[in-house]
Parts: sequence; structure tokens; C-alpha cells
Amino acid sequence: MSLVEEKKPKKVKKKKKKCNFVYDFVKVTGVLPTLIWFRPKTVRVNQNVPKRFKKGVLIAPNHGSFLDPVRVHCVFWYRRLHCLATKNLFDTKLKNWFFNQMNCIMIDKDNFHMSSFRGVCERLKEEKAVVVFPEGTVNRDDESLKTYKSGVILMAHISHKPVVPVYFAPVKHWYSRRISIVGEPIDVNALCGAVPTMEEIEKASNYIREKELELMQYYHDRFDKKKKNKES
Amino acid sequence: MQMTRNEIAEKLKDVFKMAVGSAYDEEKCTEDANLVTDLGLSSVGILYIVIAVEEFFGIQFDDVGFGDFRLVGDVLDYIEKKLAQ
Repeated sequence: MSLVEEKKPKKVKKKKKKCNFVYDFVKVTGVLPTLIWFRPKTVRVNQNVPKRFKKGVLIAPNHGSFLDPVRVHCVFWYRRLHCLATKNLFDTKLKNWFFNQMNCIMIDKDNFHMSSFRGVCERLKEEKAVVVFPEGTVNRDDESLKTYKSGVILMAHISHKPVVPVYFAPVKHWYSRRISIVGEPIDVNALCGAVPTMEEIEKASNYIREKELELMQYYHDRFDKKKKNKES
Repeated sequence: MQMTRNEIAEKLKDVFKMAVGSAYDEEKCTEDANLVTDLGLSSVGILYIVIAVEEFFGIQFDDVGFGDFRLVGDVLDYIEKKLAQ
């Protein structure tokens, strides 16, 4: 027995974990109808794309429909996702409560607040998966993508997390199968450097858009050609 | 050591130079210059400035909206106030 009494390690207060009951409940109850309606198909563009993203990641899909947040959950079904959502969705107390429970981060497009930006960075640093639609609004044009907002790059750069481009193929009918193409994760810090200028950040944002256009091309080559061949 | 307003302004000019890029005109960067119309900054550009200012001056912005900063002078006032705290 030692003479010196060993000091008991101080109890470190653990950060209270957020209850995800509503989120999980909606997710579990929504699985069956979503699978029947969407019949989702996820394609990895090559072998370098991990089957499952385990750490903090910024998911950047195109935004063709208001159902895209559901689609992104079909692709990354194994993760609890945190989505950026416009302020209009939080306009009543009930909606505010619901979307907060659904891990949504409020963003005011007209008067952007630092709290939204910090909210995203904090969650990424906590190794969570955050979904940001870099186009900003729903883009109904199936053949092109809007210019990407470079805020995505800033968020990824500050939190040192990769950006994963995802392409949601357009659907011709409400019952059509939803095909999603997942691209290789992009290391933004390697693209921009340690202290990037705004021009470098905009370049990186364009690079991500180009990568997404490549995914669009991949979809057309692989799936549209198949259809055309069947028809002919 | 407390920085004077002029020292802050000089340091801030470097931040604006990085944010605006090749289109930066030092003569336009006065206290009365509007961030959007005169310097041509977008909302992401203002976000960039906030992050850069935090790093350059070692301060942390409160939950400010970007509508709170209209002129270069507004940013200067805010930094001055924060450094004095």
C-alpha cells in the first residue's frame, strides 16, 4: 500500500447529448413510404468514394426539388444529418420546434447571421454530417447548375472537413426512381491553402461545381444512354 | 497594447485587399465607403471579412447580422469597441 494517497481523477462533466427522439422517430416511420415512393438508387462514382462516411463531412448536393432533404437522407441513411434551412421554415412556434428537432440550422438569406455559420462549423468539428445546398435555392433547370455560393468552402475550410459533391438526377415523373451519384470527397484545405484569399475561395467553389457537373455527365452517360438503347 | 483607429484601419485594409482581390482600389477604401456598392463585396465576402478580422485582431464577433455592417466605418467602430473591452 502506498503512503501517498492517490488522487482520484476529477469527474469531467460530459456535455449533455441532444435527444434525437423526434428525428429518429420521423426517420424510422418515414423509411417504408420513402422506399416505396422513391425506390432510391445510390451510385458511387468510383472506388475512391467510401461506402460510408464516418467522420465530419459537408455534403453539397444540387437542389432541384423541395424533397431533396428527404433524398439526401436516403443516400446517407446511416447518419444523422444536419441541414441548413431557410428562415421561412421557422416562422411559427410549432415549425420552429419541429425543424430544430430535425437538426435543421436556420439561415437568414437576407441578413446572414454569424450564429448560422458558427452552428455549421461547430457541428462539423463535432464530427457530424452537415448538408448545405450550395445553389442556395431550388433550381428547376435540369440541364445546368446555378453558380455555387462560396460560403460552403468557408465552412469546410474553417472546420477542416471535406466536401462531398452529390448529384441528384432529375425525375421525369413523380413515380420515377430517384438516382443519386456520390462523388469523391474534396479536401478544401488542400485546394485553397492555409490563408486563402476570397478569389481562391471562389475558385474552389467553382471547382466543386465542376465536379458536380462531371457527376451529371456521369449520370447521363450511364443511365440516359441505357434508356435510349432500350428505346431503340 | 491599445491600437489606435488609424492602426486598425491600416490592418483592416489588408483584410479588404484579400477579400476584394484584384479589383481592390485603396482610394475607394475610406470610412464612408459602402461595403457592397463601393467595394463590391458579396454576403460571402462580408463573412470572409468577419472571419479574417477575428483572426487578425484576435477578437470574436457576437451574433451580428451582416446588415449591421453597411460602411467600412461600421466595421472599424465594431473592432474598436471590441478591442476596448
